[in-house]
Amino acid sequence: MGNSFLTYRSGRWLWISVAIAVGLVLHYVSYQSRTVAYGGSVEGLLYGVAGTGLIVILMYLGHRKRSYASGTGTLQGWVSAHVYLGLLTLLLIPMHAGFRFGWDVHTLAFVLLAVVVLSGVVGLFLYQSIPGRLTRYEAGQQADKIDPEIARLLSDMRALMKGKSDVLVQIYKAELAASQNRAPKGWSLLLKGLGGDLLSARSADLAKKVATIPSSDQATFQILSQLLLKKTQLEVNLLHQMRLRNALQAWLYVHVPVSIAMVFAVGVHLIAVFLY
Amino acid sequence: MSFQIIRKILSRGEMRERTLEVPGETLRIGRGVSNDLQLEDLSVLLNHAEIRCDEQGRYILRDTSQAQATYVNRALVEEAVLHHGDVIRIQHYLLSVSQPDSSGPLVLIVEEAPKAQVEPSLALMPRLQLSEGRWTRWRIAGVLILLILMGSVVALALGQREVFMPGAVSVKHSKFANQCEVCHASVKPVWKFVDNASCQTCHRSDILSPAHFKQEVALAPSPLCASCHLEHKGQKVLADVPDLKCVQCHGDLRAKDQSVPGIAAVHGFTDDHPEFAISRSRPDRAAPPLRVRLNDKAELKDDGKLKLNHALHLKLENDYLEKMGIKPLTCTECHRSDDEGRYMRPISFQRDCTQCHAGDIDLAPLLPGRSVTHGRQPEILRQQLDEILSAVYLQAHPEEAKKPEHLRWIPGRRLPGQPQSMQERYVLDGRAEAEKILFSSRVKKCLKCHSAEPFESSPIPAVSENRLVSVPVEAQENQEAQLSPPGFTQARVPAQESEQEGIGALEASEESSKRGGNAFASGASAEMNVVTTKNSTLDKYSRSKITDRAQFRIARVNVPVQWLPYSRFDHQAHAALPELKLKGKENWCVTCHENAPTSLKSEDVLLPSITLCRTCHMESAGAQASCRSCHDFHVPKLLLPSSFVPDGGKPKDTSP
Repeated sequence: MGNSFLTYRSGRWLWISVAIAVGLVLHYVSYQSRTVAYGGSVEGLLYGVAGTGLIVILMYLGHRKRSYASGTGTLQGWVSAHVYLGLLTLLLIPMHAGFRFGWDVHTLAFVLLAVVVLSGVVGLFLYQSIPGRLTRYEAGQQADKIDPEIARLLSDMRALMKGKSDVLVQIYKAELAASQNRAPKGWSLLLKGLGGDLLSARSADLAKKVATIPSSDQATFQILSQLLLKKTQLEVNLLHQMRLRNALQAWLYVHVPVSIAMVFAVGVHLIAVFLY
Repeated sequence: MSFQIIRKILSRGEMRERTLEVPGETLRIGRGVSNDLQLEDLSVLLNHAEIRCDEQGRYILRDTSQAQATYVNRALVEEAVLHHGDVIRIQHYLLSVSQPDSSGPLVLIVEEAPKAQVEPSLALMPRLQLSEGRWTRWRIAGVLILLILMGSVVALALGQREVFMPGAVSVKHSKFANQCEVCHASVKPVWKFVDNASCQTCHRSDILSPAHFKQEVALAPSPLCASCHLEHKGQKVLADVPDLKCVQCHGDLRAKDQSVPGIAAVHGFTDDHPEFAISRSRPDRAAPPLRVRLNDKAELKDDGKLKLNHALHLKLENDYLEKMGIKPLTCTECHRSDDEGRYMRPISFQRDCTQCHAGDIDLAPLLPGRSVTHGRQPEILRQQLDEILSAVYLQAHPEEAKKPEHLRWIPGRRLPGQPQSMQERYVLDGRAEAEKILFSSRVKKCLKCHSAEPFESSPIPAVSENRLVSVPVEAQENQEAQLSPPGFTQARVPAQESEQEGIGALEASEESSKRGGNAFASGASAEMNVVTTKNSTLDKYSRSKITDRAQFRIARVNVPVQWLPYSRFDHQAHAALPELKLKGKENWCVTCHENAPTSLKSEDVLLPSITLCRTCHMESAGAQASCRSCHDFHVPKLLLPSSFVPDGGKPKDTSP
């Protein structure tokens, strides 16, 4: 956390947000003590304008923090602002509504906003916890180097099969076919996990096949088994890494689409309240 | 010294360069966003390496990852001095070092190293990525937007406009909650309220026109209905206007309008609500009533003009009461509530007093056994006296009764050309004597409970021609300073002002309260003129001959029907409280009216103070303490006293 964007410049944006939040709360308490709080009052409208402006800024921050070449501020500063100002919306928008909610498009817009912010918080925690675990798996082999390694292993297997019995060739072909016909499983890997100890299962599977291998090919089978187990080991490592990488990405599949839907809902909200 | 980073990024099949200047003497490299050069690939550690410029101007690369994963020219290094043309490799990133100008910045050209070629069909990693799935972020966003759009269209098609309303409508408006046009006749900005005309479509205009106090003092125009009855703002019952709406003005009425008289600022019942105030009539009835707060002991006085000793009534001996055949007196034996149980009816002598007190007023010692009816109008009372006296005379002189009818004297009429008969003289003299007794402060007939007050009016003589009835004005004993020199008196009971006279006026005031709830028993008077004169040959038909006179009348009974006219109260609701009955035992009224058992004078105001009310009525933990629990806004104009019309003088504080 020492260099984390959360503590960027001694938590500059944290304190800025806290100061704004305290100011908002004090103002709201005064406002609520003077009149009935609702979105259409002068103060309510100001809260609404501020909230809309904040949403626009936050969405720009989402773009800016991926724009490496921009010279306006540091990337860490933008991310820090994105986090803390995003949390601030959870206070500002209910103040705009006078903390009244219902089963309507207005509350829907806020619920979507809350989902966006909370998914951001989830992403924040994921980014704090997953990279360390990912690094441990990467110590074995980095993900992008596993596929070439597997390709090399398959190449070695193919070279090994030259002039060997059909039984061995079938094992190789089955392995090749299994590697070629994989369906995308990013989400199932994330949600369901690896599905057990694949390495042990593969080892047991190979042990069962030993009896079917001619004695003349036993030595070759042992080498093939080692290659297959190495391949499986690499695949398991890749699965672990990709599961963690997917976890780092998955929250964005909520954060980004829901933020776009939220903007649309805010548009519906504005049309509805300004229509009458 | 500084650094220039030229980053080559493959974007949509096209290699692009982006340049970033990093000032300072140290360049931090790593995956973390705090680094000056961020290498996003997860294989790069958060803080992987750094390049700093030493005192000799050399750039030194140091691997800060402790993972031995930094290469310079394919050689693994922990620390190395960089030279022009060196290539740093951090995982698959290649950083080409150049320094065109020895004194200029160190230029790092960052690009990703070409990866080993893998047959696409065999590549496992891409198939494990989320982006390879069916649900991309944009598709999810599209579906969500479509759902919102479809939901809105379906809601509109089904007429379910509630989903677009900024808050539910109140209960009574919920019947047409889906018909926005009923209230929203035209499109208005969100900060504007609905016009009163929309409300008046259904609601009666006389209700909608708020005859509030502020309108009485001609302040700013009345607020719009919708500005207090906040629709779509969570109010289930629009009539339940929140206190905040009242406090908006009453928190500082002076700030709202400088012409407001000295009205105290109020922010809440338990905060700064002033002590309750009663209205006292001023001697000049044309003047507005005086508002007196219960804590203003100097001014606080009951001007009811009805003498009553509460302490005496509440402490009557039980054996005495048993003889009378009645149970021990409690407040409710005399003070009876109205049909709704909210307020006490005005005291009626016939209804509330005759249980113990005789209903008629006996004429002893003048005519023992004879009595006149209490509460009769003055003219009727005189007729009744004449009839009684005439009957007594005829009983003693039966020959008079035998005279032909045209020769007989009939009370109130003398035959043309006839001298005053003995019977007439007896009746007139007797009437004067009877009136003298009735208004005697010693004998305690009328003045036992009523008081006399000076009154200027032209009297009608009602004495015999031979003798002006000598009536020492005993009623003046307490008011000699206001009398002319004592002499003879005449008593008169004029039929004037209204039908609401005498004791009966109390009943009339009750009727008045029913009609409009006015706080005062209007027109309640029983006037008896007591005229003194030195002239013993008064011509009964010539008022001009009355020379020296002082007149008195029974003071107007002026007990307020509603002591606190600007608020509502419900005795019945309080009667249900068990603790009241527990504390008050047999007479639970005294729990609140705690001074009643010790009150000796009718001038005592026995209302409980606001402090007592606050023991139960608190903001959150106790009984309700909202403005509307006691006050109304739409006060009918009739009920408003003229005190709220500036009279030019310095007004007294008025209760909110």
